[in-house]
Amino acid sequence: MTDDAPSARRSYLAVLLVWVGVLLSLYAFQQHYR
Amino acid sequence: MHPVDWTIVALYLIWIVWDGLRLTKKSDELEGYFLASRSLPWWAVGLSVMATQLSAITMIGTTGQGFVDGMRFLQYYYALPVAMIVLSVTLVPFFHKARVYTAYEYLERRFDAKTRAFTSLLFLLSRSMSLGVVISAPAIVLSVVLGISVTNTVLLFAVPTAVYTMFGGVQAVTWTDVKQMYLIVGGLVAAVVVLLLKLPSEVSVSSALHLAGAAGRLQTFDFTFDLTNQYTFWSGTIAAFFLFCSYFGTDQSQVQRYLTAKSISEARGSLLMSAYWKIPLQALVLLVGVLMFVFYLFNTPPMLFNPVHDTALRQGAEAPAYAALEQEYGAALSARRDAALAMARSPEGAAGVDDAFRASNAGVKSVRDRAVAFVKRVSGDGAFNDVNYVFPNFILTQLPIGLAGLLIAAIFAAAMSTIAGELAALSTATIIDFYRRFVRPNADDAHLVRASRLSTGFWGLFASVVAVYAAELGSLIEVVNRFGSFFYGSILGVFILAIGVPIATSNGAFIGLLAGMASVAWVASATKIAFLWHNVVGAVVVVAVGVVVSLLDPARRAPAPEANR
Repeated sequence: MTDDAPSARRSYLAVLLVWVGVLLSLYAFQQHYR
Repeated sequence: MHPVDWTIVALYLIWIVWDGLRLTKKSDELEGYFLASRSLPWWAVGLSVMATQLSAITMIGTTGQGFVDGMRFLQYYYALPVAMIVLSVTLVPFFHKARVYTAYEYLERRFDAKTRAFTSLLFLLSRSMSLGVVISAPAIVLSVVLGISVTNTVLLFAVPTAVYTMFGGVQAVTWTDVKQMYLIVGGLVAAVVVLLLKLPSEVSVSSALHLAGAAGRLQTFDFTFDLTNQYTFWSGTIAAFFLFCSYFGTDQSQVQRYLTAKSISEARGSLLMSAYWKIPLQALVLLVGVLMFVFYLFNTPPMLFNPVHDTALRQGAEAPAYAALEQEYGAALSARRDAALAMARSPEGAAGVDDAFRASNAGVKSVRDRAVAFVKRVSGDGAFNDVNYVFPNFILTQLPIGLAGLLIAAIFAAAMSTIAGELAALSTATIIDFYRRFVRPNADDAHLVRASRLSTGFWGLFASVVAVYAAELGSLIEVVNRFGSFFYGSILGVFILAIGVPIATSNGAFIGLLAGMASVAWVASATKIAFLWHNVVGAVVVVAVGVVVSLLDPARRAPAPEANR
């Protein structure tokens, strides 16, 4: 971890991408097993 | 509980106290005691933050919720990753640069002493009471299933925790949290593995999940917009966003953790760890409940999971009626088991089997609802609910010796990691925001650390007394969250004014805070709006009133303090 802004921005973008991925996976999971 | 399991719990308790004290350094200096000399790595802080939030209520209440209601509760956490990013950009750098011990200390630099003292006092009041609930709720359940008194159960949690928190400060809290987190996750994973291994040979994991899904246990999205329902996609994303910003951004038990990190980026890293892992972790906890539901499709569950009520009804005057109900329950379970097996054996999408299973499950639920109503009528306890007994009951009746002890130790670990974090935060706010600020401003570190240890001990005692005397408190999770929600949104509003509104004055912040809290109290008492939305109401009212009062405030012409920049 470094203090530079581009690195922090990349971390936030990664969190957002994973977040969207997790929500879509959970939705797909719900639809498949309902 | 078997002596081997008791031995495992005892060994855990001894080890965690010894380990907490062993890893403590420089706890005779104030910054070492309260902030670990700002030296901790992001992963330890991140695990510690998650351990503090994962209480014994999560272990027994959320697994129980997964059992009766499925995964719906997961929606509550959907906004958390976004809130972590917002806090990483806004409050984390502010707190770190301000070199504060408490979140509220910053408010004095930005506004005035009364805003700081008032917000810190609110924290002390709400958190000390909710800590009592955090201790009492699992203590009541564990006292029943372990067969020891509530007082002794409270002492088993509270005394070891108070010892390592008093003497080791936040370093002991953090490093024990890390180990406790490993134990908790290990225990939950072991429970999932055992539950999967115990499936009948003709039921695959996929079939088990289809059964859970058919019974509505795998619903993770509810797009209904209903302000009175707290577990919807909208309350979980919009209203919970405010709750998480407030909890992670302004609650001393969380802020103190990332102040212990080496740098701003390490503090951010600790928050982003929660952003990645909180939803999967909660899903794991709920999955244990869902798999217990599947387990009890093929194994006979007790009609009541609280053994005390069960025994009392069997021996009471209403025993024949209870026995008749139990017979009916047995028949309903048998029909459901057949329907579940038929569904598991049928190809996916086979006509009728899903509906037959759903109907049989509704039959079981109907008899159990009547059993619960029966207990309420006979015992006179209108709040009776045995959901929180499902997981402890499963551990002690279905898990092998050794693993049961490990899981009970994991519940203890969840309780202790939460208690320790809260005790450290209560002590820090007491000493920094009140004792050092108003009573002994010139005291040296040695004196303040001594006072802090006494303060930790005092809050431990206070919370234990609240825990022992707390009456039946209904659904455990909601009670704790409700306590917090009365204050969280409003305190977030004050921090939004402090950091995001340059024209905000101390009078604006203070009057806004009072207006926000009054609004939340009114909404809570006069409407049926779900408590998650109270956070939104509190924050919005504080900011709106704060801005208006600040615009009218003559003090606005004075230059803002440097910490605002």
